[in-house]
Amino acid sequence: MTHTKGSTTIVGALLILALVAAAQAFGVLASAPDRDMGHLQKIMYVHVPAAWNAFLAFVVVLFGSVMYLWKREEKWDLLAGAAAEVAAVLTALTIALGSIWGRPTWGVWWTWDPRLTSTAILLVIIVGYLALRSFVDEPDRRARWSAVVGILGALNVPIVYMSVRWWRTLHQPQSSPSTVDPAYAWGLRLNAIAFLLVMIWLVRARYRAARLERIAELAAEREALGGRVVNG
Amino acid sequence: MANGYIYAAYALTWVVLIGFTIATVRRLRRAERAARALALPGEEL
Repeated sequence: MTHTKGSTTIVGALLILALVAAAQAFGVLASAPDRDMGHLQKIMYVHVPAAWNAFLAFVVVLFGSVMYLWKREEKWDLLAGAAAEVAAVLTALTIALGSIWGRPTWGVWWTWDPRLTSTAILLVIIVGYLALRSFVDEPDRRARWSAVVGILGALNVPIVYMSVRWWRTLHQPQSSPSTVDPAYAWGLRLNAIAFLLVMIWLVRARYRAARLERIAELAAEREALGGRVVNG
Repeated sequence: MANGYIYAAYALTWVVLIGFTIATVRRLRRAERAARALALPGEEL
């Protein structure tokens, strides 16, 4: 049963990655060069979906954190933790891709622009959140403190999103199918959906892993207290 | 020249996606093995 589940998980991952490849191929091959940026515009199909899904992962962190503080059920803490790991990776990827895009278009790898700076703060918060989880051993305290930091981190997301409108920035306004040229809209949509599936798969798989790790931890504690029971 | 940045962006994306997916699958398998070995008979995994 477990073996079948594991195999299904891997097949699911391969299918989703194939979908990402197909969406990228569509975006890259079907869109004409941009008037100003030329082919560099094609970086949008990875940078923007990574950013959107990092934000969505933060929303899951917020949801899991609020639910934990409300219900005090461990599953919500584990969900927030799993989403935070994915949020950290996608935020770091967003910054790195933005930097690669910024060098040829702005002439710099990095600048202390409000959008870039607020995104960097978001990354620092989520890395701090993960560090906190690994430093605190006591599960209840870890979950409580993590939930507070998770909520504070997620509250930064609207600031990052709106930063390009609230302040004068080098970064362009938010890209979305409604703001980009119609020729690029479908490529952006498809890549965002493909990234969304990757994000959901990663959060689900890491949540399941975290739950199983807790089961093993509890079983190990039970065993240490004298009741060794091995599942045969 | 611009193509180099595009290749770098897509290569980085794939390294991260594949690397993180492999790390996730390995962690999941390790957790499944550990939980199966220690869980009580009939305990839901």
